[in-house]
Amino acid sequence: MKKLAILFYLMLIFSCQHDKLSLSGNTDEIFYVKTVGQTLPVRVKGNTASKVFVLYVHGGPGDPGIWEHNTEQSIQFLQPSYAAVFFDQPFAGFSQGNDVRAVNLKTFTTALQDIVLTIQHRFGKDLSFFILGHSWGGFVSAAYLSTDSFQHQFKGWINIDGAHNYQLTDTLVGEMIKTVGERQIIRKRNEEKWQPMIEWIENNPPNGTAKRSNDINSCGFDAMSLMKDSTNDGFNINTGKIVLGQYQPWALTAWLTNFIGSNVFQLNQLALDNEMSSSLHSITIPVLNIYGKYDFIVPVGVGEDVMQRVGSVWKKLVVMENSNHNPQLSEPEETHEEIKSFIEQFR
Amino acid sequence: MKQRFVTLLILLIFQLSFLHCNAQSAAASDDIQPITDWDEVYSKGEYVGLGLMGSIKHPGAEFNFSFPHQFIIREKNKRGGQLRINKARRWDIFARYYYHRNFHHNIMVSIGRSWQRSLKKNNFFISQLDAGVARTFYTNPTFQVRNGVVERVKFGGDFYASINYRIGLGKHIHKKNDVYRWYAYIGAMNFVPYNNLLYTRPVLGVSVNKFMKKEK
Repeated sequence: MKKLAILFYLMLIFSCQHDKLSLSGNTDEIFYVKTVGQTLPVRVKGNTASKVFVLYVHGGPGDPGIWEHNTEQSIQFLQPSYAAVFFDQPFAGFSQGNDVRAVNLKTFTTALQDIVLTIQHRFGKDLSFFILGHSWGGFVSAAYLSTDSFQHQFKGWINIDGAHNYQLTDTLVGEMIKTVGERQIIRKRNEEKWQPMIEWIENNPPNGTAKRSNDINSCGFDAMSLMKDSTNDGFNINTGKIVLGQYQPWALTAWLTNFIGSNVFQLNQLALDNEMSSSLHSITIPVLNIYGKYDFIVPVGVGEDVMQRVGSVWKKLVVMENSNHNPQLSEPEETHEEIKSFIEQFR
Repeated sequence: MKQRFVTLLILLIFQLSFLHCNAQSAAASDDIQPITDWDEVYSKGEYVGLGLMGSIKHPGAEFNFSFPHQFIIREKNKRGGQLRINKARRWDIFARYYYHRNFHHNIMVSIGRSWQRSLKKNNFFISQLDAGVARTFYTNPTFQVRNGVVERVKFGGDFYASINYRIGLGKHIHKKNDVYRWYAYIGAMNFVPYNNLLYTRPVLGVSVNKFMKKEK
């Protein structure tokens, strides 16, 4: 009898968790969305009373959202004023599930849409949504916004170093390594490192395969590490804090499992096979592009492609003068000032 | 705070167990415990056990029941005389649970095999492999969209095949006519299929067993 009573109380506790949540100035709510065969963790943090929700689509592919949502610099400017929404994409971070299925573009766009609907279900329909995609997240955001009429749920698109076109990205990375490298050799800066990099890039142009794309990406990282003009302070992640779970409430080994098992090659191939440049004309909501001047992973030229092709009346490209691939970390104040003024203009 | 305390406690027990083994070996002459008769306790007897387990910050518990299968005696010629090595092969049933905040509860039931070898002074080495089924329960509210309508998923979670392996060191303890043993272990719990691969989770723990058969 006692056991039955305990079971009854447990069921009562489960049933007492509310679907609808009240808005507040300091929300920190974690819930799950079961979609596309996986269960994705979603965290809503910050000022939900503002009714402005910034949906953060993380990079990668395969990275966890923790880089974004627990690296204090990237969100401390957003949270007092708005609600930041972080989630782990399918096959990334701490998504969990046993329903193995083939990955395609719809996997990501459906997941994103289900998350938007769930947030509306929990916090109300009258919310102002902004989508913020970083790197691979820029590709996912572009795919999502150009699908059906999804973009009309959003007031604007914030595209930080977004890679909506992998083939173009790889080509521009090669050109940037050659141009900057030759300039650095003339200035006698790390010529012994730049020379083999330039030779490798010349002999290995993009060929549409994920393997080559990955190699070019690695070469870009090597080049980026040689540029002393860009700040990289935000990348000083405290490994101890991650291992002890202080950066994130979720499972470290689950993240590693997803990182290893997500098959980066397969996801990169998905992006290579689905360039978004030709779909950008269908996006008509305001677009703010922010790119780092020293970004050898997704060069500024990719942002210029968005500016040329997007169908929006309002569009802007901001180049961060001292940043590489993470302006939100390396120049957080300037980046978030741009983001805030964009949100205030269109909320 | 509570979780940290439990983690520290598990880590402490784990480390102390090894220290205790060494201390017992060093103080052999003071050992008043009778030497465990492996033939007596392992060839026929079942044992039942309870244990604490977990990984960093994520506590768990387990129950196990073990049946005898094989008992092997090996004699080795050493310089000081003959050395008798006892080996036991047993079947086990495990029921386990762990809690991982903001991730899931996990309940596992499995059947496994133990390989055990005697060491000096009632100590032993153990290696265990088991396979079974696991069911997770998400710790936070879960939602699903069906035909554009958001629905709450009650008791949401997933089934996985669970395959686990661990190795450890332990000691037999004799109290009156009862034989107990405890051992500390380190291992890995695996769950498949997890997304498109498997989920490996490190685990360490301590288990205490009571042999059902009384000593003569």
